[in-house]
Amino acid sequence: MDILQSLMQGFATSLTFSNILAALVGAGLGIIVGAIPGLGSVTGIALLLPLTFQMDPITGIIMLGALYYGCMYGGSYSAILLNIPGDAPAVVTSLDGYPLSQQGHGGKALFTANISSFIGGTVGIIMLTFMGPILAHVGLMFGPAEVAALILLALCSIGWLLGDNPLKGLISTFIGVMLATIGIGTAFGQPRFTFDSMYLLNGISFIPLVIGMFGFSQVLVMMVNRVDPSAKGLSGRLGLKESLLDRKEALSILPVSLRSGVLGNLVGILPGAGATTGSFLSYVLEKKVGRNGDELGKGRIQGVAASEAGNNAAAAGSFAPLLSLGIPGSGTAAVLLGGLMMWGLQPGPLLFQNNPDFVWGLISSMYLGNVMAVLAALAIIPFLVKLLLIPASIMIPVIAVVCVVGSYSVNNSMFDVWFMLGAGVVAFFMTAARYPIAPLLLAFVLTPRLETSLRQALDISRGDPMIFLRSPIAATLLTLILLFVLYPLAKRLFMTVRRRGHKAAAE
Amino acid sequence: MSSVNQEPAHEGRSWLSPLVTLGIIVMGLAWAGFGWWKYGVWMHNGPGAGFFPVVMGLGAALLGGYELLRRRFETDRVSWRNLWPAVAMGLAIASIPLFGMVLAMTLFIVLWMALIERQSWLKSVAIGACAGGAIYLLFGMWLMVAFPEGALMAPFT
Repeated sequence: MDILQSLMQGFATSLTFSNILAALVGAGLGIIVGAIPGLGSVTGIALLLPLTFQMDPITGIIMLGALYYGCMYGGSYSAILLNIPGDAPAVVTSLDGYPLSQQGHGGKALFTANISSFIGGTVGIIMLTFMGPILAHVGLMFGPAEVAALILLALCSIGWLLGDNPLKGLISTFIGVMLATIGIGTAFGQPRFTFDSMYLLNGISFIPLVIGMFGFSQVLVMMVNRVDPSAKGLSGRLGLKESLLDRKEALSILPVSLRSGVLGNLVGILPGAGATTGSFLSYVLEKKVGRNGDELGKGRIQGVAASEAGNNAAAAGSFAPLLSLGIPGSGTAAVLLGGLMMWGLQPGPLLFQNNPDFVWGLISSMYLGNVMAVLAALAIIPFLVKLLLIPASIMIPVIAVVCVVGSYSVNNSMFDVWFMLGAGVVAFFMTAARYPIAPLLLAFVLTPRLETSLRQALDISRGDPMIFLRSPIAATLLTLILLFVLYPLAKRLFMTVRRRGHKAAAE
Repeated sequence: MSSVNQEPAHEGRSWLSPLVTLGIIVMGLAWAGFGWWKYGVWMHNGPGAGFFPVVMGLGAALLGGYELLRRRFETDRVSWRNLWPAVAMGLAIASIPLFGMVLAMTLFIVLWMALIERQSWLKSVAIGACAGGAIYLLFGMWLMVAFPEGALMAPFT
């Protein structure tokens, strides 16, 4: 009851006209920033942070919270409509979102992304409200060995799940890990594969890589495989009415969004695991337990729902360690931590005691930000889907230019632009040779954390690998990995034996 | 294209798939070699800087070798025309030191639409100007991205 009372007081603080307006402006700006390839929530919050210092702290944090949620919504738009993920978690959204757009269901994909983002975000915020401090302590139970095992689980499932040919998926995963080893890694402090280039010292930038491999390679494909929107009859299927989900579809994404929300939130509280791991593991869960799991990746709204709900719930989860322990759970939370400290607030266990108005104002503002973001996002769907009607003759040069400007704006570096161009051409040939690109990018994102955690775990145990078996959490995760790898092989063996049995019986 | 995100196309040149696989094998072996000899696989009671490069490099090379031996060379159809945007964009990027980012990208859109897509000059210039203006306002003014100005534009700024 205390929590509910505190939350009501938080709403009393946050629900003023100026705060609602701040939330609406923040959500709108967030959607724009999130939808622009190359800019993510970290950039958005960093840009807006100085503007909020003149505001009342609660109004400022409401605006930033809404902007954060807006970014999460916007990140999926370019992934669904153009196959250019706005940020890392949106890579998973594009797996089903873009095929849906190509089939003329871009509006449905956007609608699903918005609704499931809202459900996932709400689940995440409710869990944060009632179990925030407990969740933060659960997060702390994940030391280096446990985090390494969790990320290894995600990595092992990538190759098997994404793409028609698991062998090529696995090879793509290996390439992603190899690319991630370029530069001075945090685990070793030693330059690797930099070939004496100062541009490679910090490693490969993710955004130019993803823009090149998804966005620019798509431009090269479009050059020959052109789709004429009018000939395909798309224009008749891109109205607001056609974008809405029917009752059956809405009911089918509800359980997906709920379970992805819970899983994403739990992953989000883990330090450094982030929204990408949250969205990917939610997708994996759906692929395994969902009714039509086998069809994910071919353009199913359930795939979009799993990824987006997991992503938004993880975003809420990353606030738990920030507020309860003062440890940021993601890059964006780290920028917000800077903002809180500039307002003279010290996140941690005492924040709930010393500044309850602020903490509960912030938590209630997340509900407000989520509602504002979904309203703003739903309002712009009719305009967004019209993008799909633009002919290839205009889309090709414009997308190519967006790719260049997006990759430049990350680090203001021309090297990144050339790198994006090269990555686009390489990805084009890889896709033509039927090597899937998504496993490569996901492995690239997950590897640095895996490498650091593995090194830290073995440093702690002085090189004894039994540390992974002594920890119950790590041992459970490693058992899951074994099952994950062995299950497809056992299933194939079982099917072969059964088929031979049937054949023998028939003869 | 038949990746997760592209529709299956017609079967194409069979040399592309083995060539890409061969490139992956070479990359894997290079990674494993550098990791083994230059960075060290196991040191100070734990994996060294070369551990992941060696494991992943060998993995990619071995699986790539198996893929070559299987001789299932599925390839989507590609043509030189696919690479036109890369070549044209390469020229546009190379011209950035002269024209600056915004003008170079605007010119790319105008020239591409007029010369490659055979659209009218009026339409090409209108779309190029709108896109260039949007990039300048959004990235240059609002987000304050410091675009390269270019030698030709320097006297005017």
